[in-house]
Amino acid sequence: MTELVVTDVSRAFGAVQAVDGVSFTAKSGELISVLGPSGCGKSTILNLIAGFVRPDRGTISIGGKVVNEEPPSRREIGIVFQSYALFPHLTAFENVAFGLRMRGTPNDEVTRGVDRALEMVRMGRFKDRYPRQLSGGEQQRVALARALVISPTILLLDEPLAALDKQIRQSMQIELLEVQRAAGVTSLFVTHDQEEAMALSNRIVVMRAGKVEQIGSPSDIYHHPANRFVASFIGRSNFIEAVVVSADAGTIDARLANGSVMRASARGLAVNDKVALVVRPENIFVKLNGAAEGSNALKGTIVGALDLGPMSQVQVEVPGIGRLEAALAGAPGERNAAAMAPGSKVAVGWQAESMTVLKS
Amino acid sequence: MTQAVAGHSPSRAGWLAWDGGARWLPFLLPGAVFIVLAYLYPLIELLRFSFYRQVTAGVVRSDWTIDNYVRFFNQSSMWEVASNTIVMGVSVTILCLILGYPLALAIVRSRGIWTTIFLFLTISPLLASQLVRALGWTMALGQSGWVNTLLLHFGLVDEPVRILGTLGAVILGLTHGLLPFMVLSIASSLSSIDPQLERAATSLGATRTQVLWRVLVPLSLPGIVSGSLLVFCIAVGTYGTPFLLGGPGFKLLSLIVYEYFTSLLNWPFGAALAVILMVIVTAMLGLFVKFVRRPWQVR
Repeated sequence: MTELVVTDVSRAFGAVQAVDGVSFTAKSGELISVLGPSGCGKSTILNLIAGFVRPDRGTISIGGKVVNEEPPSRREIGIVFQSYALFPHLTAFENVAFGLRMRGTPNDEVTRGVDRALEMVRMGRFKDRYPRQLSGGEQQRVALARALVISPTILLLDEPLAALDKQIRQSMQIELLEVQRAAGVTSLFVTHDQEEAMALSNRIVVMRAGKVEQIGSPSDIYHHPANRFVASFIGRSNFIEAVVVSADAGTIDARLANGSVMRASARGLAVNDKVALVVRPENIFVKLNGAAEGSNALKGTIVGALDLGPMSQVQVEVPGIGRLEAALAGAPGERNAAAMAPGSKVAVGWQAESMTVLKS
Repeated sequence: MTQAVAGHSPSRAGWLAWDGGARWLPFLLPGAVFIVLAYLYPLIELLRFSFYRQVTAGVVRSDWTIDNYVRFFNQSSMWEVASNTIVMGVSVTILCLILGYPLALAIVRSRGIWTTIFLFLTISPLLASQLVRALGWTMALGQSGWVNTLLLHFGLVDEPVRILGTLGAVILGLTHGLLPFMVLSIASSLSSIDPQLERAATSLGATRTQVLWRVLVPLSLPGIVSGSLLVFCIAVGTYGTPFLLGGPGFKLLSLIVYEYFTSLLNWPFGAALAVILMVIVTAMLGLFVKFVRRPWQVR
């Protein structure tokens, strides 16, 4: 059981500050994701922890020991690469055995360890195959077994599922999670896919331009984004600009561009602060030609509606505010899918609790 | 190996491994004609001559005899020449391999201007002709050349040693000239290795040496083999450098083939020697090809 602590780590490549004062902790056995758009520094974070790249500043400690000076070969870290990086000249068995052989493990122990690892990822019957004879998903399983057989202190996963088909990816997500839990290994998962990060992680570190934007559980990050970037990068969001007209302890009234005033809970704001009200599409309700319920109701016109199967995506133009996106779930009848035609006059609204107030 | 994964069906064109391959046949024709005229025909002529009987210098009779071959196998000096040739070829190949592998790694690993520098260093021997290179070595290796000067200066020898005119000089000269072929073929092989493999090996606990022997060398084997083949074939077949650096008494198959054709005017025996040289090269080739079977490359 090992804790991974990254403290104020920075690294520049030439003029580019790839990682800038990043700190976070992965608790023992936890699966933590580093999520961000490409170029945000998440791969550098992985390389720093693995030891392929040295930090300009800051410390990385694994299990209470600072490893800044340790070469990658001595960090006892298991890595699953996006390209799998299986040795093409070795069979699945020998690929998994590689780490044990490097440690000089006796032959019979190697055989036992490798067989167990391959069984764990359900690849036992493919052990004599070469990587070329395996599908992408099978190669990824072998790569996972290879990383875990050495009983690593930390497991690093570098977009391990990105190269897989969508169908296989989802079943691999579940498998990955099972194997990671069974091994109980502290894991760091680097990805640009927010759905994957949401599905797999105990906690997510959201990064942009080398800096940490927010750290929290998937639901924290989704329901209480710390800023505009997080709100727009993870899931979809409606941003409604407003000005604070009164602020009490924990409650504000904000005036929207069309003049209506909404009450929301928020702290640390003063009168005349400019804010953005963030509402997720699935929290917006759309009612046809009726008085809207809920505390925050606006009148608008439907400008577009898409039936996406499990839900309908409806665009509503609200005068003075702009377009709002609503996602309506439920059976087609409940959604009033047929009536949600462009031109319909509707009322849109949301519960005050489902709204996040961000200072702009 | 056993299992074919990507089920490539044999194409309709049969021996051309892609659909509609026959449409490309016209483009194959000029090359094919050239090979037949410039290679196959002389080869058949050579074979024919090697079974003729020498009457007197420059005069042959088409008797169909195997005397020329019998003579080679009965003459112990000929065996010596053949073994000299093989020793020379193998030595040059091994030397090129030892010197060339690190250079190839440096080319593949270096970035920016350094790649250009290493590449230039590698191909620089090819910028001078074989003749100029060999003459340069005759100056360097002579009694008062810089090699002897250095040896004397550092007290490694007491008086100038004879280097020129030995097998060593020939090996040195040929290694210099053939190194580029080795380096370039290994480099092309190395550059096709996924750099992540090295990181994977390192993260699994492999040291630099283990990465080299367990990952890089096995995966660059195709380049090692093709480079070795090139170097060996050229080394045993070449004439100029051994002639200049080996001196008058020095004997290699390529040198005595020339001798029998030009000064001794015994074409049948010269042809037989040329055929034997060819057999040695072909045998070496076959050995290498067998050696480099890679089970992991499944088709």
